[in-house]
Amino acid sequence: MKKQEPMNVLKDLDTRLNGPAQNRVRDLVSALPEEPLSMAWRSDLNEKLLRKHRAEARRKQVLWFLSPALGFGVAAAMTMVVFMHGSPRQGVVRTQPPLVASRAGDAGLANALVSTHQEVGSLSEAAGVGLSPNEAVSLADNHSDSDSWTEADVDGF
Amino acid sequence: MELCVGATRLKARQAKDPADEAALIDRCRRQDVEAFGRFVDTYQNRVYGFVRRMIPNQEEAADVTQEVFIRAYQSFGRFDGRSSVRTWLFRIAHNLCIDRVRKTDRSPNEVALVDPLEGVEEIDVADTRWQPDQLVMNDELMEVVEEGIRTMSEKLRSVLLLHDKEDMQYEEIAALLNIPVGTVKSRLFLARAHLQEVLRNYLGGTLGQGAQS
Repeated sequence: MKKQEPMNVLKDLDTRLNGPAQNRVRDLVSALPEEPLSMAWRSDLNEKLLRKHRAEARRKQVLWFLSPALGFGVAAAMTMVVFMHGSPRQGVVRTQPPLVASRAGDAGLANALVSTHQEVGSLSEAAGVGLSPNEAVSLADNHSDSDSWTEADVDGF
Repeated sequence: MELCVGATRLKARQAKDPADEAALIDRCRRQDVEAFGRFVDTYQNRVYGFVRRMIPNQEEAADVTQEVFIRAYQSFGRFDGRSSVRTWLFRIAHNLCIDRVRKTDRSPNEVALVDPLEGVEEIDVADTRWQPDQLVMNDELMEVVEEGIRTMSEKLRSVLLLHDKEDMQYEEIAALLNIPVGTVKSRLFLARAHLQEVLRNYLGGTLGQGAQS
């Protein structure tokens, strides 16, 4: 009901907007003459537009020059930093060379591979699941205090 | 200069080749000054006509019209073509006019739009003074119409000018002013009713003077 009311008002409005009296007012407004602008106005506008155009062109030129220059500058600065400080020496963690590489020179690659495989196998058996051979090696190298314990020490607890 | 009211509406000014206009707009988007000059040629008088009726001061209106085209030139790259270029241009013009009017602190007279049909008296259509072939747009009548437009609120004025002078559709005006189509219609009705009232007073006065002499 409420929706119908505005619809009816709009329909009524459409009808009245298309009525003869309203149409005549529309014709009167439509027939109002256009006032032409002077040549001075136009030339003033042209000058302003040209000024804006030049300013925009200058801005684009500056941007065109600046963006690669900025890129080159950053690249040059980074290169300088690398050269000045040289290659990094301290604080670098060196990776442990593989076991195969250290033995490759002694008995040939095949022997080294076989011996490494055997060693890894035995270390895995000794260390159990969850430890890598390298860790097993380092554990084997470090003498733990618990190795020198005697039964008497254990009884003491 | 006398113009007969009720003559064929000047739609020829809009009858341009769409391909040509699209090419012109494309060049304007690329900030082509020469193409923009042609664009200004096409629209300058119409935009000025709208602005001059929105801002009564002639010098100020000319300044605002220049500003409209400068803004259009600067933001043509952002024109997405969703609306027509005319709607886009008149939106810039309308916004600048409203800004200028607010700056000069001339607050518009609000008109209640609750029921636009209530209390509006229609002019008697049978009145011979309203016959199109008898009503001639002389300078005096033209001035009365201009005065009638000047004395209505900016809200009514902009709708009246965009619809009746610029021949825009209701939907186009609604999109331009960001208001519902129903509001456009009611404002248009009120604006015309206001002009009818002004003309009734004028015609009554002139006939009264004629009868006395």
